[in-house]
Amino acid sequence: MTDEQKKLFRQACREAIAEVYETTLQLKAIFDEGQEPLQAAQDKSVIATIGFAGSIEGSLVMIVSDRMACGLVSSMLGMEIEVVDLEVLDGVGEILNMIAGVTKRKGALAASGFEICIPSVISGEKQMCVATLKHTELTTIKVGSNKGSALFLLTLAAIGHERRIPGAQRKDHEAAQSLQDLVNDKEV
Amino acid sequence: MKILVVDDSAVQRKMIMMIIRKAGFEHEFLEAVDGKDAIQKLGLNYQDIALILCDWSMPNMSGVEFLAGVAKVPAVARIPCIMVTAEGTEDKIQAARKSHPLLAGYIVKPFTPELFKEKIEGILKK
Repeated sequence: MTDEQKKLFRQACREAIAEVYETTLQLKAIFDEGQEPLQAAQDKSVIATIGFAGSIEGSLVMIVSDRMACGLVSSMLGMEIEVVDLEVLDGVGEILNMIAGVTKRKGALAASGFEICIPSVISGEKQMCVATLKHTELTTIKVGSNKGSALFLLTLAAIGHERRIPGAQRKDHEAAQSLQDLVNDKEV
Repeated sequence: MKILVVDDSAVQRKMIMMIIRKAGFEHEFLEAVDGKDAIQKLGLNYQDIALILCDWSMPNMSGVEFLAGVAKVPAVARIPCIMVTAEGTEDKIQAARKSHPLLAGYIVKPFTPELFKEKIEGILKK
């Protein structure tokens, strides 16, 4: 991946954040271009991580305070949520999943042939995210909004091989067989 | 009639159901957390299901694997299916259509309630 491709991909990520904020959260994303040194989150926070594998190896991490996490999921569901629970963790993971999906679509000019993993989300105090891949480049993206701020960490590695999952071939027969069995039982 | 909503995210399922209800549809909902769960729910209720809304990336069995299975079983293959996913690249859309040739639609997340409503209105009757 060339420096130009990485630049395009990082721009795609910023645009994806703005799109998901506007469409799903009804928020205007305000980007803070200053680079903050990485430090452990002091407040209770929610951290969601999603990986890229294939022609891009890397990850996108989203860090928000508990309060912000509740605010974001409240916006998604149109109801007030005040405590971080499984639903809030699930919602933050889904926000990151959408951002990764839009990044992939918008960043198609920079890279194709990579897959997005299922997000994982944790919560707690004094969490710290560290990029561990060799030759990884880290970009921090700080995003403000009227609900609070969020920090995104995009790590991109220079290496990777194009990986395409060939549609549905692994479990479709299993699915069809199970369905047919249930249909047969029902029709007897 | 019922709508089967397949997504590993409970929040996403809730959002989808909320949009459909707000759009004025009074269908019952069945929820499934992955493709395997969806097989069970569909197999036991297929005669009452008017629409399947299915995510792509899920643990255990993905949405595209589930839909490919659905396409192979005549009793359920005619039920309209719409993929609702964050995967919006052209190769993914083509792969989904290949897995289920009668795929009724493909909605890319994030979506607005208006777009969602527009996509399902032609399929569901109020």
